[in-house]
Amino acid sequence: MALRTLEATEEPAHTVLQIRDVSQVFSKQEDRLIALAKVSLDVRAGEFLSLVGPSGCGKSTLLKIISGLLKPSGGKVEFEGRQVEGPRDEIGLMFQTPTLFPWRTTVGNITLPLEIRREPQDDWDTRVADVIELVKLQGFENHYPRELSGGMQQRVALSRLLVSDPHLMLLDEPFGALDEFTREHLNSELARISEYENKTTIFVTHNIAEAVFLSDRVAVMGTKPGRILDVMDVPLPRPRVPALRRTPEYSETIYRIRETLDLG
Amino acid sequence: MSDAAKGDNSSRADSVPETISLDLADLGLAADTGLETGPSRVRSAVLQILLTGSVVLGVAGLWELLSLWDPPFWPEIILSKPSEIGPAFLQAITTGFVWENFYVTFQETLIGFFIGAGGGFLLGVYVALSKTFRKAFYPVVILFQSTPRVALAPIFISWFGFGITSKYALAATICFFPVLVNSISGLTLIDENAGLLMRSLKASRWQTFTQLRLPNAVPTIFAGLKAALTFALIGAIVGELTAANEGAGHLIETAAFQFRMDDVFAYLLMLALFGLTLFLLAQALERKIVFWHVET
Repeated sequence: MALRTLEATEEPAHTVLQIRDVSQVFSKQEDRLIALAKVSLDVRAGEFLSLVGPSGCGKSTLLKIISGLLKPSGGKVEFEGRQVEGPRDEIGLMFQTPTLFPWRTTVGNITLPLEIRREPQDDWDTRVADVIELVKLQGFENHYPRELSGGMQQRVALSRLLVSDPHLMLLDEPFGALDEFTREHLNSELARISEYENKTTIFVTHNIAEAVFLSDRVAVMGTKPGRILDVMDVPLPRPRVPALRRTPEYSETIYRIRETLDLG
Repeated sequence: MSDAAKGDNSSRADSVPETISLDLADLGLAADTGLETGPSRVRSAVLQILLTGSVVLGVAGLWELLSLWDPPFWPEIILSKPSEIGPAFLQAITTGFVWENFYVTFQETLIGFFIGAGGGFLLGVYVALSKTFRKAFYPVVILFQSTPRVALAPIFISWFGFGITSKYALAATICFFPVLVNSISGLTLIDENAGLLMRSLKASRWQTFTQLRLPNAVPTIFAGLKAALTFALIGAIVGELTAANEGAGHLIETAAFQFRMDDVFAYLLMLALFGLTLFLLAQALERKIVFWHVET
């Protein structure tokens, strides 16, 4: 949980995630849909990388393959030196829907991964308290999901992901279903949390501005077939504070990504 | 598992049985919904009682008025009147012999319910967990679900005799199916992402069952149980009407044979109140157990 500093980026971080020639073909009777065509990508330790593209570019499919929930038709994914062949403890996932269990309280939902993995209970309390503080859910520990707003529900989902301390976090449009204001706010929160936790993160979105604000690099994807058009660096300093949204670098990066998408 | 849930979605959605959805919240009889404030809740409850009370009194008054007509619209022997049913009701609920017979019906209903609902739930779990079993059983289940099961009464009487066993069997058979079908659909229809979440956490089959499938199914199963409770009472009464020498159905039949229409209606009123009590108890239990489920 080291604080990410600007100095740390000076020494080149090593690659932890290798995606090599991954393709995915869905065949429905006669039709063959190439969801992903030979996608390759290296992700560095502690990096925040976004996958941006229109619907149908296979970004969610790629995320599912990285998580081990979906077996690719071709190619392979390696994380921390081992090929991903199924769900792994070090890889955590968060969806667009909060996917909370309505019969469990905030704390009950957060401890789900710990229960499933039968982790020793002695440090649960401190771990849960830590993530609740980090995600700012204090005072809502014993609320049920239906008593929480959509934004708060996603905070609980993020806590459930963080509590299991994954090395790789896969976020599939986590704030896509929320209103604009809540989303911007939660993005700032996510930037703060990811800088604090310094975990390798892959973030799927179709919102370019969101991707630029959060990421170290943005992989721009195109459709038919689903592929990576370009990977771009985001020349913004950390910490990512809301004021960065008014800098020329911010607008310029957004513009470059848009251009790549239009040409692709 | 998500594929299974998705694949069966369409076929299952239209085969879920109709369950009784008398929403007592609408009737103002419900326990707290947590939304309305105290005074307005009391006011709406009072209003509800006044409205419903006036309907009941109005119908009874009209009925009484019509039966006073001379010459009469109907012979008193086929339809009694409220002023006679009232005293008959009071007499019935103070007669030990009547209570003994109602107790028999009560016993048949509850024991039949527990056998049928318990069996339905257990088989439901079994069928829901095995894809092959589900494929094999589901069409048969739907066939039985569509059969009017009270028609089995004569068969059970000839198998199990005039006694109480045939009533257990009928009540149990009738309430077996709604619980079975609702258990299967509740246990198989789970949110796709919830299934993915459990898979990504490497949850075992047992963990997925106890932590996701079962709690997810509880509201649906409860809807089936509520329907089953009413069905069990119907089963017991139909069994008694077919052939019995005790029970509420037997009392009604005997009274009707002897043209004691005031008693027939008094017994019917008792049965209605009995059924309503059962339903309200089930509803209260449901609100306690399925506290997270908001009916829409």
